[in-house]
Amino acid sequence: MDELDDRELTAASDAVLVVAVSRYQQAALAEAYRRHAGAVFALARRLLRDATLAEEVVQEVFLRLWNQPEKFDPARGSLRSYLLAQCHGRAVDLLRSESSRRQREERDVRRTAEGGYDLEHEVVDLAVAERVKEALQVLPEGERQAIALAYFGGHTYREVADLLGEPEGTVKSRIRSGLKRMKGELAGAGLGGDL
Amino acid sequence: MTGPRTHDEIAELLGAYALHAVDPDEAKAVEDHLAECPRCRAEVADHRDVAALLGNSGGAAPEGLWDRIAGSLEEPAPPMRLDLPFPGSAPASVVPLARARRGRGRGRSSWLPAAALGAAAAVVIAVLGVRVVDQQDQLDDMEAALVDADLERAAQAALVDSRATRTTLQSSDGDVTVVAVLLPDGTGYLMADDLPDLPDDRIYQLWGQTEGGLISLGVFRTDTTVVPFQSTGSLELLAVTEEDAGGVVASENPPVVAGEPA
Repeated sequence: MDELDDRELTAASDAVLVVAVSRYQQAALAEAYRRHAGAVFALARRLLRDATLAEEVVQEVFLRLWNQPEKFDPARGSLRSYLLAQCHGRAVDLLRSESSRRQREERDVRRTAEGGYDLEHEVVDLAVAERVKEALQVLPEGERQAIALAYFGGHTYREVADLLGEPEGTVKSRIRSGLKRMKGELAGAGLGGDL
Repeated sequence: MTGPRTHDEIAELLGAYALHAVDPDEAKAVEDHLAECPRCRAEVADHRDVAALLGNSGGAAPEGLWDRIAGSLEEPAPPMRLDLPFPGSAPASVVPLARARRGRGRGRSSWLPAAALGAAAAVVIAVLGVRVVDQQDQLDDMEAALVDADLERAAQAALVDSRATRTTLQSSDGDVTVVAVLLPDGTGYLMADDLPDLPDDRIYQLWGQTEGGLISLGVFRTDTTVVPFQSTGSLELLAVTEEDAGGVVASENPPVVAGEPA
């Protein structure tokens, strides 16, 4: 494959972009960044509540795409999903690191006092927010809470169980069944994983 | 929970795993299982898609962040592009030598010669008393030799390629003859070994006559054996001039050698 010019890059699918990235084409990484960095940054900041740390995560996620483009498998999901999953994993690692543990515990106490998480308000993308919101509404409260605390709170399911005073097995099952239920709802709404 | 887990026990963890909400030992158990179980892999991919929708939001990344990322990608590229399509070898086997990329690339580019150098340099220093600073020179030479070996292999393959066009470049007195070969995709190689030696502050520059005029195809040092070049159209003439180090946009010097494609 020859180098793609600017017009071709703009028109290229994400999968083609990643192939160009694997050929060391920096402009392809720039285009992937242009498409997805905003979402990656927003997720990192929401989890970490710190713009500087969030920027570091964005940097790591895109450097990883540059250094290991083969880790992205287009057959297993969209590039956006992949980058957000990478971002989420890294942000959660940071959250769980010893240095931030104390801060986080204090924050959790404060949040609990403020009424806890509101998953519906955490989803802000206008284009999909409505559909995601509808899908969320079909979830039983227990599932919705467990997913929110795990995904946006960065808690393990064991920690979620502690926070909610529920058995670990119950929380584990609720996360899984909630995600499956949402998948069904979103697929019905034409949003089945195709970002 | 410790010890081997059943498929069902692993499956129960998949939702939490997809949200990075399991403990490290559980994550490891799930990953081991995923390597063997396509059904569970597909389920995790589904969960990740849903999670991505939850985490997906608009907004822009902060100003200046891309510049920092771009700035940390890698060191500057070498003067000549070596990531050309090489017949008979995957580009990936050549590129890392030319462009030090972290991860896979770095391993190839420095580990191999460094290991070979260890023993060689020890002997040289002990026996000949060569200064330690020469190590870096030697390392550079060995890296250069590896690059040259790849290039030469590619050039040799091009020379015997039946689709290739051969050009013989000669000096006006007929004393110096070098050969260039051009493949249909525009990749070319000049075998520059027989060009006369130049002083350090002088370089050779390769030119191609195209429909649009005479264009520079690259500059190279006097000790270069194979010069790779890339042409976008057909070439009516190839020529080499001698220039000041750095090269020129348009040469006023007579060609050292020149020739028309056969």
